[in-house]
Amino acid sequence: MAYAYLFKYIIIGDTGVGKSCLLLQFTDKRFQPVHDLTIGVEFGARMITIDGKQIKLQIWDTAGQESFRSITRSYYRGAAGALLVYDITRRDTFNHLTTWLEDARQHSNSNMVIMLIGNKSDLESRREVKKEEGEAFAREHGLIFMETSAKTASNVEEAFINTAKEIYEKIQEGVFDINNEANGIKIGPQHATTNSTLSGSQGGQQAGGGCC
Amino acid sequence: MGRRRSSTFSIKRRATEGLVFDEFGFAQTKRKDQKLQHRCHDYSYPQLNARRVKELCELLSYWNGSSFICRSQIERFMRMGIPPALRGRVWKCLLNIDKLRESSAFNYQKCLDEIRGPLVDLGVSEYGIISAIATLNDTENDLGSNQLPSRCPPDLAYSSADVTIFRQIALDLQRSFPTHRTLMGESPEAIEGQAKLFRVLIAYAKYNPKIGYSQGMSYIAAVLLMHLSEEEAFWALGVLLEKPKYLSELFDLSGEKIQHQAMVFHQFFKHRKPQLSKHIEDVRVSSIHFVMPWFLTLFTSLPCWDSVLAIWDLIMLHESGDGSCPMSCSGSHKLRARPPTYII
Repeated sequence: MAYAYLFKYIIIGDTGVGKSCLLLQFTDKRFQPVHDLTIGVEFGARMITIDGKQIKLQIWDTAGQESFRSITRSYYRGAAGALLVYDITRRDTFNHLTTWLEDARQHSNSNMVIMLIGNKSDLESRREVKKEEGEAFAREHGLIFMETSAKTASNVEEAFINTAKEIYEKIQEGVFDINNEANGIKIGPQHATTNSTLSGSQGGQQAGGGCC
Repeated sequence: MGRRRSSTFSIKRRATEGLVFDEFGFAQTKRKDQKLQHRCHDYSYPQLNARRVKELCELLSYWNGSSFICRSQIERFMRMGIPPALRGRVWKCLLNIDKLRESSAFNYQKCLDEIRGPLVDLGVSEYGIISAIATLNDTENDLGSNQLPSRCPPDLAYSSADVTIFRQIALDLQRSFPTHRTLMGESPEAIEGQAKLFRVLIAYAKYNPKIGYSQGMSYIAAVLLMHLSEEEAFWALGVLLEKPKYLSELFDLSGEKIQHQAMVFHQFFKHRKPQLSKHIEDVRVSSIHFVMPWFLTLFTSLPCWDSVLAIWDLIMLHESGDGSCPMSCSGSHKLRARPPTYII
């Protein structure tokens, strides 16, 4: 399927906050409580429509454990959007946001759009981080903010799409140099003839993974 | 060799949950879920005849790891296919587990006794992983809100480092082979399997604090537990991570070594499969991307379980010898064996 733009995303945050579940909910529209842990970096893709234009989101889902940090860092480069995820039931995942943000700012291009996500909003009874705290953090650091639940799918769609909208607006404003692929944006075949893309672009399908 | 359906033998059922497992213990699932439950398959690995099996048993009974003849003979058997029932014995011989156990001052059972104190004080047990995770989360939240990042009440046997590592390991237990019968769900078998995996990993973190626990190790320990007893699996993990040249460096916290290994692999790959390597470069996939899960889980991220075990046989043979790094060679084998679509 032809697309007008391709946006590259990266999902970051502490281990166990639900990064892979958010991605699966977005690409496959389902919640898989039992899944393999992410070693290194995994990959997903989905087509969305903004302003009547087909946009392909290519999403890198990273491992949260500290030991993978030096490798996942290299994926910031060439990302137009980042979803920075914490778990509202675990205070330490919120406390670590500053480190994540420093890392992201340092290794990404300065225009990268960062969406702060407080995940697991379905677990209200075990909440440790107030919504206001997330909002305040986002305001202070110039991020977009949302609370989501990968389990109930609440706000998942919006989180990915709002990030794309923000990137799209920046393109319209001329902030992004779309001819420089290091910005994480690629003009698709709908606009111009470019190289072949990473995978056969099937909307709503998760690419990558193994097959036998 | 013809393709056999696994349903013809050694198929296991867990009646209460209506689950059916393939012959390596992976749950068979509905077609629509197969993308995620990719490890379950029909297998067609070679079978040794009774005479060969007897020969292999004899070889193992007088096994001498430093003998060239023994090693070349076992390699011959590996090429024919090690019978699953004998694999544990073969690995024990190749890794020479007993030697490490006897020469080490570390006592596995004693270590577990020492871990029991903190676990009891924290109010968690490895036999209830879900509630353990919840409790450890609460404890970590409390420690954080009390502004006591490194101290705990003095009369308790645990430190905040204990809480962190217990929680990290507990969190990964259900994310390592989540569809294998020894780890899946809440059957008595799975509860026992998760408890064993928890103990082996915690004990290893105490045994080798320099490495501690790093994601990926849970897969390696879980495969060992599928073939060996709990304590044997612990020592086998110890041997596999002992030599600085091989696995242990991959779990180095800096992550530099794995990047180096990925570069080594990349060179191998370019040399042996120039066309495929060029294609992968053209679509801008870097070797580190697919090499990382292969190496850090010792190829258990791959779906063809009979191939995975055959790779493990070879790695153990080379790991215990003085050969060149087995990882890149195995990775390269893997790519040679599969069409390009396998990775893309």
